[in-house]
Amino acid sequence: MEQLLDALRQIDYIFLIAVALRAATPIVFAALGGIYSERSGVVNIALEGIMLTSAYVCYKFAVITDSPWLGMLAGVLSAVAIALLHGLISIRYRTDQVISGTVINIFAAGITGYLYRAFQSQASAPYLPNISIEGLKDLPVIGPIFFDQPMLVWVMLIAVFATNVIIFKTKWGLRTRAVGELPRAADTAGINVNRMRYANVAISGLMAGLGGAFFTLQTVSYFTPNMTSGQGFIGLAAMIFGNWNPINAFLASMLFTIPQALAGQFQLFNVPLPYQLLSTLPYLLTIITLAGFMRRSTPPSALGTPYVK
Amino acid sequence: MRNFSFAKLWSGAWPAVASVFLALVVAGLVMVVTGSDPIKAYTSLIEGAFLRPGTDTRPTAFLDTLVSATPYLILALGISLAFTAGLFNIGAEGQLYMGALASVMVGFLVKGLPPIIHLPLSLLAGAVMGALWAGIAGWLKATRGAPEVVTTIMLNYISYSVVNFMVNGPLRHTGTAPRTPDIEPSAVLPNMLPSPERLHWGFVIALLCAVAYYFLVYRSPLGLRIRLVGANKEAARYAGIQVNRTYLITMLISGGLCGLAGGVEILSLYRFMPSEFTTGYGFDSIAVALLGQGNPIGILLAAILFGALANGAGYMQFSSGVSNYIISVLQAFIIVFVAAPGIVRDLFGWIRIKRAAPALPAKGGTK
Amino acid sequence: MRGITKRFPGVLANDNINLDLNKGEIHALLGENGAGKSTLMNILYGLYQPDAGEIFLNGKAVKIHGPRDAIAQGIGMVHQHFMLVPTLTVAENITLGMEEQKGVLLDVERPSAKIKEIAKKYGLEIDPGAYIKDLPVGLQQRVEIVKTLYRDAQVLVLDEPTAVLTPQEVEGLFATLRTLVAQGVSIIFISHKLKEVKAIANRITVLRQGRVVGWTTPAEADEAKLASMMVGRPVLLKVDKTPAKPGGETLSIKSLKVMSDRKSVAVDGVSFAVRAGEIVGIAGVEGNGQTELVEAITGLRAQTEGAIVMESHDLPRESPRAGIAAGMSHIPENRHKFGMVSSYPLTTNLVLSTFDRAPFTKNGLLNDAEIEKNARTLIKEFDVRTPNEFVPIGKLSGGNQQKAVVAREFSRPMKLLVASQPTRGVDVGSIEFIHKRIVEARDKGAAVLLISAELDEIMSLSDRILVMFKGKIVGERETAKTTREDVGLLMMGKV
Repeated sequence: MEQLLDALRQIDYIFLIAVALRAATPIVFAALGGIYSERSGVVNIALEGIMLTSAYVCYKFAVITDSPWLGMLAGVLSAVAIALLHGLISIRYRTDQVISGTVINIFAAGITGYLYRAFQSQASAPYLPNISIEGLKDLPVIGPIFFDQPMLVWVMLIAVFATNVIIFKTKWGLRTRAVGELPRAADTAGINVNRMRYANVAISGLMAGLGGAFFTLQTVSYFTPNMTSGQGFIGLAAMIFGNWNPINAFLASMLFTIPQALAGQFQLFNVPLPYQLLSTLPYLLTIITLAGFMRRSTPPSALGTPYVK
Repeated sequence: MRNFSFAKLWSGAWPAVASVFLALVVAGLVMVVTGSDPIKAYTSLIEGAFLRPGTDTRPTAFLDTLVSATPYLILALGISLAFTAGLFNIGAEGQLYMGALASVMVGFLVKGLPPIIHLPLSLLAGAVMGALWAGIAGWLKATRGAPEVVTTIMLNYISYSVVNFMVNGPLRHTGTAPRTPDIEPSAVLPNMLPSPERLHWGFVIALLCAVAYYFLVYRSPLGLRIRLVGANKEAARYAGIQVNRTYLITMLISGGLCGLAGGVEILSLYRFMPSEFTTGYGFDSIAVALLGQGNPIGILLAAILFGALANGAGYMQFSSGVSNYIISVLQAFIIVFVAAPGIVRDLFGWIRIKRAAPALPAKGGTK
Repeated sequence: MRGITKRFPGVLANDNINLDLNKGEIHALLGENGAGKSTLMNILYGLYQPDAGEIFLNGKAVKIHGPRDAIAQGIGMVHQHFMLVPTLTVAENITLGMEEQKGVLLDVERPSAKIKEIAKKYGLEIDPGAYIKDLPVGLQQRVEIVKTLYRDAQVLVLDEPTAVLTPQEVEGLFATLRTLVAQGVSIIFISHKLKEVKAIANRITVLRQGRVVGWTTPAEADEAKLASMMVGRPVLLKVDKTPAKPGGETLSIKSLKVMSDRKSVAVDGVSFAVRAGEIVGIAGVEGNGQTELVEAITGLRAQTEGAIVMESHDLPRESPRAGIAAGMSHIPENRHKFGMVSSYPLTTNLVLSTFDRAPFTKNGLLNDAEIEKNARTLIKEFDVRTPNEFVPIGKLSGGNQQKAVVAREFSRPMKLLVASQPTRGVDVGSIEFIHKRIVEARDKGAAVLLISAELDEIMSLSDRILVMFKGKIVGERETAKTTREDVGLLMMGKV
């Protein structure tokens, strides 16, 4: 108890937020991906597997081409491809979307595990750059949080605001929302419902693909099987908690990573809590938020229902 | 059985069989592309899984396949029960772990009981623990509408940490390796045949579970209730069925089966709890459940298939040089094809059209 | 439209239909449920493609492949179930599919101005910024009409537009239609309501079972003639029944308050009783709380206040089980969602609420022999047309499905029957059958609560009529001592 209070007094909270923001990046990407897909009516549990696939492909291609940019491009393309596979199974073959997503996750874990072991190498992938601006990073508070972070953190923040504008203020977003709430209305207005859904699922793949790049091209430079550790699912919980709104989903993601960063700090300060139990924190929080928030959430009305003319 | 016909059986089994066949073809293509020989790989796989006879030091291949199939069978029954109610129990892996942990704990902490009591008690502990672990997700779904597909996965991750903590901490055996002490001999699930055969009574337990599953789901009122909730939960509600209570009961039984699988595995083959018990059985069993399509015989056959893949992989790698990780590719494709029978149908239709094309010019000219 | 033919699996929906529309006329398409009217108009609007036949606009043959083509040709359609997204605004819904942009973002000002202009021209005031979910049904319909005018529609098709309107709103709609026609718009008006068709149409085409059976004008035709054209034989609009002999109170509703899905008050302090041996009919335009009232009584929805009492026992909230145990039978208004499990056979569906009791369960297991015997008995008794008892119930026609639902509900000891829109989507023969059985149930001593949007059904079956308006009971009448006009006024809220 003593060490706990001591630690609480000594922690650099600005640094904590910076760490939490960094850790939230893949979760937010998954949440944004979920928002595009689900707002158009397609449940996308597959984001976990898509992120994992992208992480692997980013790593492999970055090593082969010795360029993190080409690696990221390849990863994103692979993510979009797998996302479209999920779309195909859900939209064209009208399989239950949760089954399709679960299947894609198992498929991705199997394929990446196989490829990893079959072509195992010790090579390190080149990193994507950090954004570390000399003058700005020493500013109080906002300095370390914003101006000394990996590049993808900035991409993530831009994506959050861009998604907010796209969904609520553009033609694309309007049509997407119509397709997700009352597809028949969109159909009679002349909009191709399934094409909109495929496109949004592809965008969700793009988001998850960027999230995957974060694992192997920004934090560590190698791939381990199942390295996404459920963060795709946590992203979905953040999406639900944020009521399918990008800015709220971002805040919800921070709500998960701040306690996680706190737990990490406790370890540094030798607070005698077993690390295994601390590591369950994000998963516990996810369960608690889902239990507390499900009844109050307002998902798109046509979510999960394939559209039949 | 009323209303039974072979035509109906085949039409139900066809998607599963076709999916496996197609997956074999695709995995074969992957092997060709990466420079291996699929025919050699598959023949040595079949040899390693079914045909190799036992020797003084090596168990009979087929019997060992049954040993591998045992956990798949019990887990898939549990997952399939959940599917029947419309629930996604992706937490089979975590329930397996927690069940194994509980079984081992009763196995070595409780001393001085005769096997006739100790063994069933340990297995029961596993089943109860699994049921409770799944019950958390079931209760949250029934009372708060929390999606079980996410909560069960979260509970998986939590279970890894719990087992890790317990085995490295309070339950740790003296010595350097992180593991629990061995279980008492009275808690061991014994083998059915003398060494080197590994076939143990757990296989019989699994078969009994399959029989129980049939009677529960297809012949009992509770089973009909579960099926109706899965088919149309609003109509079930209207008819007076308590849907949320049914969800909870289903998850409890499902978790109980998965926990039992953990107990069976650990008390027979391992007889202690290691800190890293990564099996992946819980996820592969989802594929087994999908292949089985809710039919206990189908699930049994699918479990034997996956047992064969697990058992024969080692020999396949040794004999043909193909990395045994191709099995995961195979399983991955099986699961995609089983989930979208439409893809299978389209691909088969495409193959049939290509074969039919040469016949058309011969018929041409008549109109 | 010439020679339009359209086939669906198992049914010939449109059979060589010819239809003419003159400029500036209101042409009514009359027929009962399932006659093919909506199908024909969906073809005109491009939602379906005809198997045969052609469409001519202003003398020229046109091909309509989808709604976009139809809109381009100046055809607009207002569907029976509105195509409005509740979470979007009026302007967003109207501009969906032809949005205007300011750069990358949506332009809201120009469409709003255009909407206000149209509103003024045709006397259809609406607020472009309002959210659809906040608008009452009558205004929502107005938005649908403006949506077609925004796209310069010259031909307007209205599919059962009065189903969801109060008689007052119907008058308002008719006034709007007359204004539109004066401005040169031509209108096709689909309905199965004889009175309205006579009141508004210039010409009437009657469809029956996919074919045109005749044309007429309101001047030449009377209701009886129209009705018999619709069903092909003289229609018995009244059911033979002896006077009721009511006994004690079976169902007692006390100050019931129920909320709707939209978090508004649907049932606002309703109290009434139904006695054994009488049929109480609740009349009212759909959407005045009847659905929520029935759901509360049958336990599918929790009431927020008030009591539901069966034979002096308070029923617990939201428990269909308790109602069934107390002797309540329920014919639901939406049999697909609530009343049956489509993929399961008749055998299962006919024991849906009783399979866990003897004789259907023996020694803990289901007794298939008894379940099948029960099915065969009920199928015969209730004239359910099916090849055998193992057919999935979803494969039967609507009328036979409903008869099966009735059979099941009647097969339990029935103290109270709650019948909600019992003959919706059902063929005429089955309607007569079901009506007879309901009266029989009453004569055997059951209390019957009948809810129907068809005033004729209420008037011919009920002994007593309660009228619901905006969630309250606004009037009670003995059927023998009242008239259609009297009830109609109450339905409008005019006491």
